Amino acid sequence: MRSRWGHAIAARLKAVLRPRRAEKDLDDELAFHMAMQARANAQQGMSDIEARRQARLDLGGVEQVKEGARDARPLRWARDAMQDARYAVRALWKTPRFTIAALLTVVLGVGANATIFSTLNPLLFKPLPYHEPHRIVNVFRTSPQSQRWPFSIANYYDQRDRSTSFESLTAMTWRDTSFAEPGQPAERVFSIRATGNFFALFGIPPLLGRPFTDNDDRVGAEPVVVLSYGFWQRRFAGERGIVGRRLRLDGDTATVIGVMPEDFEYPLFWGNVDLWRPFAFPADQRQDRGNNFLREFARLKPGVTFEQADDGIRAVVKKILAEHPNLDAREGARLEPLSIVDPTTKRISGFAFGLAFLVLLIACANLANLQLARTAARAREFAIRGAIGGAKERLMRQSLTESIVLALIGGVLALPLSYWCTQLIAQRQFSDLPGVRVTMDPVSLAFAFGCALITGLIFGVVPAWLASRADVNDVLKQNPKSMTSGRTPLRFRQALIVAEIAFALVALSGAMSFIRGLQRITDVDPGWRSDGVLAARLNLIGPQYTQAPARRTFFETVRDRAAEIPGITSAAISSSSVPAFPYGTSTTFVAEGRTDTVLAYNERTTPQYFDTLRIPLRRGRQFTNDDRFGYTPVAIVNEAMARALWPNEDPIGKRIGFQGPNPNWRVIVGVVGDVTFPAFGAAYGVDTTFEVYQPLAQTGTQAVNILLRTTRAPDTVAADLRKAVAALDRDLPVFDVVTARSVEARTTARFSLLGQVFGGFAALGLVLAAIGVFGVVSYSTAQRSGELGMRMALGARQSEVMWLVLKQGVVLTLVGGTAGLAGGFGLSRVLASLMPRLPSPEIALVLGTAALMIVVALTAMYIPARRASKISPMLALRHE
Amino acid sequence: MSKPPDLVQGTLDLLLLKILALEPLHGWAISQRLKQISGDDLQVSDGSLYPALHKLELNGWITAEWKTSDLGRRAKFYSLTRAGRRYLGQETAEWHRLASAISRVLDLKEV
Repeated sequence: MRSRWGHAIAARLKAVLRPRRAEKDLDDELAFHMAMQARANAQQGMSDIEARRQARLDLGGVEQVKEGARDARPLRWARDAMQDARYAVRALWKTPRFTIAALLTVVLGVGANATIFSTLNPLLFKPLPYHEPHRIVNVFRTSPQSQRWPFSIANYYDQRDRSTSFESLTAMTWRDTSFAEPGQPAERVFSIRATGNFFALFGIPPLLGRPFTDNDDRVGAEPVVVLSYGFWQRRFAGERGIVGRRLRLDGDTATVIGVMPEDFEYPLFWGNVDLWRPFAFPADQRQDRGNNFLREFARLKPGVTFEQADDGIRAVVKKILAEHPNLDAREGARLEPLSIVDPTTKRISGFAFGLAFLVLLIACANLANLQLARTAARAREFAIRGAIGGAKERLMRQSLTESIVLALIGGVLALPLSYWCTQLIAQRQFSDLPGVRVTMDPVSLAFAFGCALITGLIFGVVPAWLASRADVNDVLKQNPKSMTSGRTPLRFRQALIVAEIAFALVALSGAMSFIRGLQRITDVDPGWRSDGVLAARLNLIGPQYTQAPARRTFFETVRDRAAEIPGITSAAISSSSVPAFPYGTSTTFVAEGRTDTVLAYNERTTPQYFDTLRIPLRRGRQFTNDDRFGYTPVAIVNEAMARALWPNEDPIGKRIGFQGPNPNWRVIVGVVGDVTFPAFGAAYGVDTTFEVYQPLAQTGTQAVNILLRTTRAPDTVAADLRKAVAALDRDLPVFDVVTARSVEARTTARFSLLGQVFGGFAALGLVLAAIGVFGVVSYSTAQRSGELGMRMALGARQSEVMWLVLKQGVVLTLVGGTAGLAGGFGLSRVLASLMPRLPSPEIALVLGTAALMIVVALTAMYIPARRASKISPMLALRHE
Repeated sequence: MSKPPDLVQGTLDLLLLKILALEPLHGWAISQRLKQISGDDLQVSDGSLYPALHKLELNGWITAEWKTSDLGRRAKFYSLTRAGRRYLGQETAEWHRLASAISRVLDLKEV
């Protein structure tokens, strides 16, 4: 015997799973009822027809009874939704012009948002793939010049011993390593050197073997190496027996103890990493406070907040500084959450989201307008359906369903567009970031559909509501052709137009401010000439280069050979690449006879450097070949530094040196023009405006850059340069051969791309708004064609009619424009706070943008107005 | 034509269960039986009969079966389930309780 629920569930399943059967049963049941009733009626003497009619009447409307019975069934709403959706598709199919216009709007609005989201999602929202990443933080050294500096070895060990809020503190640095397999030329690989607790801190177990630990970073420990997944695959074809293999690294052997999983690499954050090796600092290095090169990461103790830990490390570092009077007391420390993008990029990305959202709002306003026009046109249909028994909510739902179906179809169509744009941006923006997979993932898809759904709801709800309020009698009384949609919808549509114009103007002026700001940055004189300059890198690795003199000799030879390449007008060697990015090193200097210190970029160059880059000499002389090791140490400073240190004196002959007990005084022999790094500085800021140059021949650097000024095509020079260096040492690779122009472009690439994206959004917003204005004015003109025809028949002139139509639009445009202008100024404030170094927008630019917006809007209105004024009075009146 | 007053919410269910407690019937027979029993005092439109029957069926109080009727046509016969019978007992008791309470109030002598 079945229980109550057994019966109930069986009955419900039947209704849900076999809806057709349920409908047929219902039909049969009611047919049987009417047949029986008719029979009974006939027995009472009614005629056949009358008997059947009466039976039907008794039942009280077959359709109503059926609806009642259907209401009882479960999942009624789902079946209704399906039916509504089918009906919506049919209705959309029947009005292709509306459908295409609406779909296009959805595709553009949703596409823009989905693109921005899938581009920025991996940068902004994905947590790093480590164990409890929210507890891992960056620890930076701070100074008046920079908030993101590395620490010295001694400082690291002090912090590690003293800090109480960290579970562990690790230090690491990036280093190029030479990797040589027997019988093959040496290969340059990217490595990270880190303290023994590095892997434990990030908390990801290795794929093979073991990671290195605190036991491995001691002096005298067996040299070990952990391979990255990529390197293991590329170089060893994923051979599982790799653990225990001995590799030749930088002329020594190290044993492979493990391979890390692919996830660990995260090149977006670390850059390319082929292998990790533990540090082994001897006791004397552990006392070193002069060389700051260690990047630190800490894992907070459970329960310790970011703020507590930040306060803690600030106090610890302050104490360390106080104990060492020769350190700069203005320095400090701070924590930063672990994230793959810097705060500036994060903020600008947020701005991009804002613009995309504005575009979506404009799209929504447009769609609401289209839907309103359509609903007005269908008011009769709705009224009639309401009159013959369609429930009002049902009709409203129908209209809403239509919007949502439209939005979802638009969402699907937006995907390929968005995918294509995402790929394009990924190529342009992230091709220099290895391993970044910027692509449409399920989260992006969900986001796109969320956008589409919201769009559908926003633009569907209001027209549906207005339609449901329409009075049946009013609507039916009106002439279907001349029907006006009543006062409320008109007000509403005017509000939409104002909003559209305002939003579009805000987006436009925001984008223009940003683009113009970038333009003004790139217009700034960088202090050197990039055209015709080629740069390459060279890394002296190998036993023959362990001594500084050997390296100096080799550099000179390389420079001389490079200068002999045909078409090379000037060749130089320097410690940093072309100065599109700031110089690689900055050092604290002190002028002789003074106590205050200054931070200056510290660049080592050969004498030809200034000629090669066309940095002008202002006073004194350039370096010569006589400025070599063992001779008087000399330096050249830039104008800004000369002016600051010796405002009313001749800087030539003055001496500068390092802070501390061993100043190594250098005599200033020349003053050169300022090199300014404008693009990089605008985005991230520069450490200092002071620059000190030293002769390469008086220092002992290992990694250097070859700079060439050439009249030939850069790529042919690259081949010659490789050949020239290979002739000297075939194991030395020349790498990263680039034109200075391309390096320069890279500094602005991220922002110029953002500028293009912003510009694209603004254009999109402008076009959508123009379409919206055009649509509304055309529609209201069409509605008034009878009135206009009458006016003309009564003698109104064309220009008067046109003005009549335009007047309303002009008012709306001015209101929207004013609101947008206010919004635009507000937005430029926001932008200024996001990127303080971006030049602030000129008033003229903002006003110009507003003018453009108004012209576009008026043009969009002029077309229908003109058409209205051309209308033949006879035609218009017959229309009525 | 003025409409007869609507049945108190839930009373139609009670009547249907009671009718079906006597014997399984098809929809038309139920409507005839309703008219027979209650006369003109309770007019139940056939339109509200079927939704009510279907609701009872989906709730498991009654169950339905297609059978051939005495006239040779297939008809949907409803019958009470055991749970339905129990439910009818509870609801009947509840109805009596409610009805007597209301009559007690209405029978109060006015002073």
